[in-house]
Amino acid sequence: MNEDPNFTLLSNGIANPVVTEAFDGSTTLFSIFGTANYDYNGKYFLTATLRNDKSSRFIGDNQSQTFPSVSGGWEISKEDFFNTEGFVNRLKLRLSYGELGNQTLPIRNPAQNGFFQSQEFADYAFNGRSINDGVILTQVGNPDLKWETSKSINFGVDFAFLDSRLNGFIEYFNIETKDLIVRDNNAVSLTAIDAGAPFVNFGTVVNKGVDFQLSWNDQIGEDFSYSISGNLSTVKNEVTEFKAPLKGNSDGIRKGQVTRTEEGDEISYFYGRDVIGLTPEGRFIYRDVNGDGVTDTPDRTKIGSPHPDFTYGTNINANYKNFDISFFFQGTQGNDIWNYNKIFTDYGFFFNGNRSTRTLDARSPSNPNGSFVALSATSQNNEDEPNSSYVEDGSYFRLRNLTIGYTLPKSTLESVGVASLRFYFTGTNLFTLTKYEGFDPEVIPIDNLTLGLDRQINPLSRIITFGANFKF
Amino acid sequence: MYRARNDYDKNYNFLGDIYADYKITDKLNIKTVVAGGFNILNRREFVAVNPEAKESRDNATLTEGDVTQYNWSWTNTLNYRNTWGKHSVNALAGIEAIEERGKEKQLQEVRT
Repeated sequence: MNEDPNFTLLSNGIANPVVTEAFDGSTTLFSIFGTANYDYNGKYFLTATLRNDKSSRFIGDNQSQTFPSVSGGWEISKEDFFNTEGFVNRLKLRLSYGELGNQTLPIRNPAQNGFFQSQEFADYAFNGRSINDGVILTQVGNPDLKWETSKSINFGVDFAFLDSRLNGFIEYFNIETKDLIVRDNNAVSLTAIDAGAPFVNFGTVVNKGVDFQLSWNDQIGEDFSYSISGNLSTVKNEVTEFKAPLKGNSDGIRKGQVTRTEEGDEISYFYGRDVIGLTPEGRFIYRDVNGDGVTDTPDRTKIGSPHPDFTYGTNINANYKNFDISFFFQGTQGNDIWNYNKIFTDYGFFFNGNRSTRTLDARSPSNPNGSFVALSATSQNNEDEPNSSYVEDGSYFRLRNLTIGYTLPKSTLESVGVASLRFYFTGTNLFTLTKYEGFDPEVIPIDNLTLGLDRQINPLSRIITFGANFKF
Repeated sequence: MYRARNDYDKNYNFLGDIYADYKITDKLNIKTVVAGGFNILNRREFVAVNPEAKESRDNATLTEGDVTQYNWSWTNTLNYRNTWGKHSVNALAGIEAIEERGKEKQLQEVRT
């Protein structure tokens, strides 16, 4: 009977059921906004917006904030002096400035301390004999928390050449995020107390870069038409103001945090010891960063960046008679990933678990030229602590989508009363080219201070679909 | 797997919106939109004793829980459009309120 859930109701059993979790909460947002567009003869454009948002996540005067934005455009190719029949068919300049707020956080009341009464964590015998239940702090509040504000400046040019077959845009952006909201993991001890670290407005981050897109559309003969478009983005990230160097969230991360954020560098870079080789016995040799002759904790340094040099995507579409095909490729270049799973498969910390195939070439007396760190049954030489052997190149190139379709000719369909019929095949995530050895180079970080940390996410599925699309 | 055959995770999702648009003049109209959604989750998990395992459990545990989430938004906008000669203006003023609420409970019964 203990095995059969059909007999088991919450009211059965010896003890009363225990409420293991209960929760009730809400968030609200109240906004007033106004926006005006002005257009002179399709040549000059002006848009101004003003909005005020009031969020329940903050308290007092910090609840509401006003965000203005303004943008202008000049369609140069609509001017009389512009010859649209020439080499350049379209030219437009765009310029904008805008402020936007962010209040989206994983908790509802970051301004207040959170408590709960707990038999499990907070018992105290005041008189030395009988035990009293106490209350513990679960979340440290910050009454001064306010909106995170992004100020962005964009400047762009839209263009079209060669009878409008080649078109695209290039855009420069500079986004300054002030009062960045992060968890201040320095404010609580991460091992001794169960309270969540407070959310604070900790600094300013600047992202600047260029977006570039080009598309080519053409037709060859009656039956064949195609289009190719590609886009490329570069972003340079810099923390321009930060109250103190901060580690990333270490929830579930053994051997400590692997990312660090400080003023003057990128947000969330990888931090640890730099492995420069192996001793004859197969132990790591660390770089002596401060040159004092011993390699110890102060020798930790920047050992990688989760920020790509550029990201890109390509769409290819083609139609030939009744067939159509489309590809969507996508990728990143030059970013690093922290392959945290190596702590389970490569080092002494979990020596009795499954090993990765990398350990086959471990250096040992019988394999003195092995390329991999020697196997050990315990943690040796701090080898499982954050170091550069976890950092891998995270660049990838992926065929995200492929669709092939065939539409039946109208003449064959009319006789059976079908307006149109298309058969298609779609494949999602068909292949990925990457040197990354973890599950999936598209990692999902815990928060914005743990970018590039791969901690065992489910890899993207490969989905193959065959379908038919009827219209009557 | 056999012992977990009566476990479930059920998710019911409803959403919808309704709007009214009134043309005050040719150039001015007022619109109000009320939108809302429900999300109801029910789960049951039975963990049976497993005497065949080398570190077996003594107790069977039944956990049942539910989560109710709802959200609504109410948006009122006033839209003014006008064109004279080569000039064209499109202005919008609005006021919006949004609430999201969640309520959750989970109960557990242990049987020996």
